[in-house]
Amino acid sequence: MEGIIINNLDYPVLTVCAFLPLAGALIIIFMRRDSLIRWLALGTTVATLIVSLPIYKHFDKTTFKMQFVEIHSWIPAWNIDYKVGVDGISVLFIILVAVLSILCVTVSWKAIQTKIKAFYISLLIMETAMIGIFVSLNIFLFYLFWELTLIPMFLLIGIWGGQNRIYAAVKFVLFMLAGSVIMLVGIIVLYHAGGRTFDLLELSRVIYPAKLQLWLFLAFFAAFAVKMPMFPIHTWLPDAHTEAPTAGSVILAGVLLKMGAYGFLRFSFPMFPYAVKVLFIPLLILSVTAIIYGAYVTLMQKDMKKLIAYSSVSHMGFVTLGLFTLNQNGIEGGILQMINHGIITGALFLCIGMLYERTHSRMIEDYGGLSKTAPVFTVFFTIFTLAAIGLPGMNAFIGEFLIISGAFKANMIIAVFSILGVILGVTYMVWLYYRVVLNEINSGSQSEIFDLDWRETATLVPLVLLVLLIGVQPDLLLSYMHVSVEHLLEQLHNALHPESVLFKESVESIAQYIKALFKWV
Amino acid sequence: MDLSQFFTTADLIGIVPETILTVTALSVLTLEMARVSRPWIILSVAVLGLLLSAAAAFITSGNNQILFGGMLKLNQISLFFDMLYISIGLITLIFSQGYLEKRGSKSRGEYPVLILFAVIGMMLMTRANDLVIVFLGLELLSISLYVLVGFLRHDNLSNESGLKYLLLGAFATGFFLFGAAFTYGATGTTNYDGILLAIANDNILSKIYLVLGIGLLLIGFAFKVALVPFHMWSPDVYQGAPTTVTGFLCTAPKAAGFGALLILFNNPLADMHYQWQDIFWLLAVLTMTVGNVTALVQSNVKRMLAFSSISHAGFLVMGILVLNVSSISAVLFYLVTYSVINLGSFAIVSAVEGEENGLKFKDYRGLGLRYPWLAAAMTIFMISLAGFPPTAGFVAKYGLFSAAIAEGYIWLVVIAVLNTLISVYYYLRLVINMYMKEEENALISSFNIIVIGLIWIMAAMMIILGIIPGFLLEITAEAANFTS
Amino acid sequence: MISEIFNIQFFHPSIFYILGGLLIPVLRGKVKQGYMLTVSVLAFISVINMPLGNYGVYEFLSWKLTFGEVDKLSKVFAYIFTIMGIIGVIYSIHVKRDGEHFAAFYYVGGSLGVIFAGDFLSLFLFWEMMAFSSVFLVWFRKSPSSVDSGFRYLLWHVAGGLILLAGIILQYSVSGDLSIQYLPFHGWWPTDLQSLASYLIIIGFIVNAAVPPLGAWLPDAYPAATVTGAVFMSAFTTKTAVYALIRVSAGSEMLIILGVIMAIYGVVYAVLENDARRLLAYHIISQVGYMVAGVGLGTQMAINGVVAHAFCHILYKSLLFMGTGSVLYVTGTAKLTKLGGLYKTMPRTMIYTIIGGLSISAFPLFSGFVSKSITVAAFGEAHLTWAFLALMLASAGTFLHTGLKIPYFIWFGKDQGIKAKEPPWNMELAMVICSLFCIGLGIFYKPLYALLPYPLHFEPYTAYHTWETLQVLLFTQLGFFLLLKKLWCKDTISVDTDWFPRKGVKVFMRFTKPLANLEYKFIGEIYEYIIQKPIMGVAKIFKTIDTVIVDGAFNGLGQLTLALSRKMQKTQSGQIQHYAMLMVAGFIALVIFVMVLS
Repeated sequence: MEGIIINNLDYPVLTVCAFLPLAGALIIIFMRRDSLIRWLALGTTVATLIVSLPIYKHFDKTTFKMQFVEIHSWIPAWNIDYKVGVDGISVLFIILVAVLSILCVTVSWKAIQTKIKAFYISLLIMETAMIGIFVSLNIFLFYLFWELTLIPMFLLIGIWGGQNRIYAAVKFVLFMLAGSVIMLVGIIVLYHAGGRTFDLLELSRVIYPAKLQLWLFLAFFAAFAVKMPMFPIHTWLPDAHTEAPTAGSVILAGVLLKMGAYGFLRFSFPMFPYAVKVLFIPLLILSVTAIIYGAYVTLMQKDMKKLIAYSSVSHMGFVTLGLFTLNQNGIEGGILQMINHGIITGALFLCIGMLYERTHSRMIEDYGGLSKTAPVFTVFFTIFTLAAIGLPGMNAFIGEFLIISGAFKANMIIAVFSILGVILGVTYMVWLYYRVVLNEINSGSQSEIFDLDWRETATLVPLVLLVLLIGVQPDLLLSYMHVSVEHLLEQLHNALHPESVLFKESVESIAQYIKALFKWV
Repeated sequence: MDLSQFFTTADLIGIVPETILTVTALSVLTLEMARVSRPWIILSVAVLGLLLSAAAAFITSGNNQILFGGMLKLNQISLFFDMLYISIGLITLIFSQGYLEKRGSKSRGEYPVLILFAVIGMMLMTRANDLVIVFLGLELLSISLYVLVGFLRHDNLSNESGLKYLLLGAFATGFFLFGAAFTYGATGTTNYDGILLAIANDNILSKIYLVLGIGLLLIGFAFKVALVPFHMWSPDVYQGAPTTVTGFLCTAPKAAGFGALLILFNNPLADMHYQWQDIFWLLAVLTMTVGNVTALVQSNVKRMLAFSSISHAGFLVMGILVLNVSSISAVLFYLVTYSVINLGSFAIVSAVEGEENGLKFKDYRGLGLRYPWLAAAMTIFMISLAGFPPTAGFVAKYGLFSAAIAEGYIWLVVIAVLNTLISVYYYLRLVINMYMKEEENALISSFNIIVIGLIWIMAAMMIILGIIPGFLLEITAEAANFTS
Repeated sequence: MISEIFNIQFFHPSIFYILGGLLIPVLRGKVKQGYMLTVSVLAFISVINMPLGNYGVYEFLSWKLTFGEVDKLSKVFAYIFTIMGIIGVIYSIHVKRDGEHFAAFYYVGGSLGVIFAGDFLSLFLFWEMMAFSSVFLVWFRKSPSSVDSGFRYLLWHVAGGLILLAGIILQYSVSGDLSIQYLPFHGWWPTDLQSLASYLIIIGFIVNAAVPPLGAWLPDAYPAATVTGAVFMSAFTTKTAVYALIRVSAGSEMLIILGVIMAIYGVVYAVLENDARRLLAYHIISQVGYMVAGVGLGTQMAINGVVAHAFCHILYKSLLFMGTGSVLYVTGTAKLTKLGGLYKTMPRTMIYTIIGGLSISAFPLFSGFVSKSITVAAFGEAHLTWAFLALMLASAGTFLHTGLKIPYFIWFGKDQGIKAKEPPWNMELAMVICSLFCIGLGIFYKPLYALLPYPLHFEPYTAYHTWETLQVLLFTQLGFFLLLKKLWCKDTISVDTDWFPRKGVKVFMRFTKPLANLEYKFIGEIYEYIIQKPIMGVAKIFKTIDTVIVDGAFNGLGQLTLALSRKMQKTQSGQIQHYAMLMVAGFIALVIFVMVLS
């Protein structure tokens, strides 16, 4: 078995991680008392985190191979195996998911009062699906988990969401599905083109014909770009993030958006290197458009959650920018930034959710002068704002620095524009901060504001620690991915020789296909 | 005189299942006449008959064994369909318990009898090795269905739809008969093997007759399985018919129609198939698109399910279009999943529907609170129809798409997936109404523990098939191998 | 990391401020005051016994971060910064609000960090720390206007900082080296990547050095800051920028021109200004102009001059800010026209202020003289006569209103009958210390010269220098008292500069008007043009695009499908004959197909 290391722990660690939450959900189904359900959910998520820790203890940072791999025959009729494993790129996301899930449970403790059972079941199924996505090495399995996220999230938004929740929920599902069904077609084509197998590693060894690569890349791109979301298919995001309950927003921003970027790393780069090289520049342009466009739209938001949501568009633009620079700095920065964004934006959504619990308003103009009314909250909010801005010493700075330095290697103009994006980013964050925290006390909704209780503080503290820890010791995370990223880049550069391939050619080839399509119609 | 010149004991053994069913039906009628009209007795007799015939069919199943001088042909695929029909009939009978009373008609022995006859008809359709037998089965099925659809005599809607079905059905039967006649004219035989031979050796009277004949046969089937533009009857009929009958109507005849069509084009007309691919392509796209798009604005759940079943027929045509082992096995798998889902969802509809209300989307508001288990089952069925993993619906769709792409019908599949996307909207509408809208007039479910239990078994089956479809896939693949 | 910076000889002064700051919220009352004072003093001591060399080298990712690069240059700046830290703490020790101390501590800590940073990354780290901590010194004034200008101030610095970051990253990807090195920039436009990098870096620096028009934040923010905050800010931000310029881009010609422009610009607008603290703010620009110009010249003597000047400037400028600050603190206004005749009530403060004024106008025997004259002389030696004259002129202007106008209008002038008293003891103590420094340095300048980075053989008190300076100053003074009637202030909000009497000097009017317009209609509003309009304006457009076009497109698609669906629904008429007709149509279509087929 070349390229993989079979799980050498005495128990199937990844499977346990992935399916422990599901087991918890199954137990919860038969529970009656609300408090019991809450504690059970908390217990399950914490247990998942604990179970996931050995992965980091035993992870071998010196190899790019898939580790802790488990293989079982699943659907022999279609030659589908159950195959899971992690490498340096995916390993970090498991702990991200585990941590965020715990916080989602705690933050929903009081906020969710109706249909509690259903809520925590959906939450736990979400966790299973998210971990599953990051560990599965079989595209069919991956797609299963990928789609599995939709329905629980649909319920989370639609049942426990805000005013406009149903519209948002349906929009979310339709957008996601639109992307993923096209990816499904791509997957099936890949299956037949790559020797009737779904095994990721085997598929990545095949070298596909150039045009096929372009098409498959686009098919997968549809799914990943919607998830990211990249401009101009980002419009599901503000609605979904805004209407979702706090836990939902945290999961959306913290993990779901990363799934797209992860998809690029895991599928598009190794399998369609030619396409990636061809579409290199347009992808960079797309990313930087997302950065600037997102930042600009963010500035104009009056609703705090919408503001953060749009800022995610801009931040994920940075992530894609990093990935598509196709150099060590950029990609590592991109991955790191995914984690950072998960932490920071998750934290910001938690903060806003806590405010919302008190005042039931998300409108910025209803707030002001929190520094006086809620000092503890202000401290947290300040830290996370500074982190989001990318203040040196906080985690986001490292990510952005790596990404931008990668971008400078890749393309000068793009890099300069991305800097503009950072400036805009600071503008909207500081402006938000100053309208919410500094302005005169807003007489309207301030009467309800009281400071955080221990549960909420306990929810936010770990994130603060992470922010600072990664800020001063990014090597903790980066060390995991070095080798894998190097290997990824090798795969990319050992692929077809890029010099011969020009962007024009690719455009022409695509144009030909579209012409062909029209003729055929 | 000596009967053995007409048929052998093997022939008689071959048709034991049908015989059992006929006997059962007749005995049920006798019981009815003998005023033994306790529903549970009638039910148990009918169920017993069905189980017996299933067992018989299983025992007497042959390997491409020809009976009655080429009239019937028993093989794995026919066995598969027999089982499918019988189980559908069984489930329908169980779900129908107390429904008729609820709708104000007194329970009558005819009801199970008609279902039994329908099952016999369908069995003949897929066992047939001769167009005449197919026609025989088709008629037996149709006539029973006409009555079943109009079974609620006091309900105008029911009567209207019964009449509609009868008239249009007769019309379609005419097409079918003409088709058979033309084919006979062209090839000089109605026997499948004969037709195959004739086409192979190209001793055909007139090409036009043959093509015309095939086309007309196709129309006949297209009506039965409601392919656009021969689908118009189905929404009205489905809506008007008693809900349990609708469940039967949109599953069993469809299975039978597709089964027969599949066998027809796979066996006797195999050499003609390539000529008809464009037609099938067109039918598939038209059917799935029209069905889905029209379903979007339905306000009546039964109508919505009707249109969704039209679109699913469209998906199934993809399988007929490709028509190789993998696609046939995919079609079989699809039929099973599809039948289970529709039976289940119609059972839920019939459970919650009242005299007046219970059919509109908005009537389902608050169901999630009042009957969480029922609503959960309905949700599973809906997302399974929409084809979300990890439900059987996804596996079924995947099978078809994979088969189609293997043959290079990529754009067809793209259209199909886009249709799936559209369909999600109206399937989720039901979920939204059940969980996300504030409760208005919660429905009173006519609670019957057996029904609910069965519904949940089916729902669970959808999940299980979605996660480990392996065993069913092997069965279908095996069945598919025997078609060639 | 800490353990590496912490070692026997070298103890990074920032640590006192950064870690020490953390305890401030805990402590209360006298203890806190004592604590803060000790911390600042310790920082000063740590500078005193600090050997030259490189310390605090720290491996971070693939980069080598140097937190303690000590040479004569950084050391002299460290001296004055720590001294200033002590004075500032004393001046602000009575302030109750912890946040203000906190911000001030981190601000000072940041500036010290910049001074000792050996590589661009750690420089940037502290650079940002300064920006983000100092903004709170403005915000804590809590008046809406100060919150706004604080916001603008922050955006300016962030923009500048990110341009700097862009330069740094570019420099890194060009040379693969992050250590701070000498990257002078020649000419006006970048020609290649390397020069682009140094260009961006210089721009990043001169935003903090408040070079107009990029310096618009300074007169905007400083008057808006708290009484004590202004004292700190006047000392650190611009000087760290000057320091950074010396390190990276000494001898870049464009700096000479910018510097001279600054010197004149500051003076001119100070003439037009009415708010005392805003006037002083303009003065900082003018003074920093000397330094920038000196840096641009880049000769050893010039650099010495710059450093010395920075040293003295920090002292007397903060002295002036303290003076006006205490006036503001006591009377609640700093508008010259609202004040007057305070010599009765606040005589001591008056004396300190005048000392400050005299030293800023480089009066012999005051600190300004011994420092400014070096720079000017350096220009003289370099035979840049135009610059030489311009700077002389500027110093005359300086004297005109810092040495004369402020004292006159605040202390003498028409008595407004304001109830006032001397400020609290700690403020006064701080002012006393500063005054002593001003005079002391003016007389015993040798130790200062000894501190300078390069050996200096310069004798300020030659007959020529002294006489020349005095000449200028006396003439100015004469002019002031002649013009006095004309220079009488009207109360003005800063945008309206028409404080000359209607019958004012026509000539003077004729060119002050356009100047005033230039400043207040353009440079003062530069924020409007550079940040407000492009960002907010474009943002509005994009918002509409997003909601109307992008989102509208998708919703429209949905609506379209539903409309189509309704249309199809229509065909489902329920009329059986329609259905039959459709079937027939299907049949006909089939027949046609058959014809085609055969």
